[in-house]
Amino acid sequence: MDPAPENFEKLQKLLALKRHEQPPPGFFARFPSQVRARIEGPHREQPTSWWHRLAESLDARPMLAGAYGLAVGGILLLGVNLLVKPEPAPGFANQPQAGKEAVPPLTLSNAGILLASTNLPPPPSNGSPPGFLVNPGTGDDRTQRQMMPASLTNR
Amino acid sequence: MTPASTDKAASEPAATAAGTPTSDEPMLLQRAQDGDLEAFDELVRRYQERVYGTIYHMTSNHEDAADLAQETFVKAWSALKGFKGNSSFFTWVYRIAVNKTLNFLKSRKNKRHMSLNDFDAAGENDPLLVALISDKTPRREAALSELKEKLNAALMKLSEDHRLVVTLHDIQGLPHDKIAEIMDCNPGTVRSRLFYARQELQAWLSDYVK
Repeated sequence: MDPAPENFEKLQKLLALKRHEQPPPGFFARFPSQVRARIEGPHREQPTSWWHRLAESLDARPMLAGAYGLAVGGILLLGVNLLVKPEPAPGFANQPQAGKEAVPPLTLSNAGILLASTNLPPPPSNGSPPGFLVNPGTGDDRTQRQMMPASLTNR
Repeated sequence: MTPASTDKAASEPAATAAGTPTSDEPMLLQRAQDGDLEAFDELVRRYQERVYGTIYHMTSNHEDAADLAQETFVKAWSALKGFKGNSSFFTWVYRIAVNKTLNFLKSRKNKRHMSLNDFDAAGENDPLLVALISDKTPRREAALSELKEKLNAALMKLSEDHRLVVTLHDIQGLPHDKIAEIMDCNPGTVRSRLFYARQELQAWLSDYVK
């Protein structure tokens, strides 16, 4: 919808006066040779990086620049979506997939079984952490030795 | 004041009305695309005044306008091989000029004041100008200077998009559809921007347009 017509006649005449503004005498006579000098000159500015070259090539093509922007934005969004996958629903968390062995979740009850299969001592029955973790240097020396590399414990 | 007669001769044939290409333009373009700098010089001569004028009215600074106009044509030369002729050469060059100018204005930190001291002789004796000034004050020179300053200050107060449509339509005389093509928008947007820009200018220049 076009805006309502209004009388801008005087304003237009006033603005038309600006057509009379001119650059210094001889400017347009020299201008083509100045352009040519810049085209042929050794100091002609060259785009220094791929980024500058891309910016230069998009300078006269705003639609293409917009399309590139959209494409890059889309790829970024897709990347973010792939990285930040939503948590699976609780009902599906423990269901074994077809053809794959189900891995039981780690709980306090089966943590002992896992520890028993190692050389580490079982955790204290009261659930408190081993003394050497709470007070380093004052705890069970045997445990510390078990956790040290063999080259150090044989000294 | 700077008589433009010498420059007019240098830039003949003058830029075509509203950018309508002349019959020999496709041939010149083809030669320029093949690397003929003489042909490109001819294209520069045809459009330099319009390109410079647009940039000048947007930046209000001769040095900036001269530099940006040169950059526009250098850029046009380097990108000429990619010019497919989907629009006229005039529109294409204008688009480069407008983009360069808008980028320049965005990056310009300190807006310098106008140095518009160059109404030519014809402008100074324009009946409207004479009437406007002689009606207001007997001190003609001072009033002329004041009018120029107010006119330019008002233009610089406009947003860049509004200033561009006023420059291209009311100063350069381009039709709405050509401006829409240059600005990559539809003619309705051009009309709307022009309307609001004129309203603002009319308010700021109310002393002169009553």
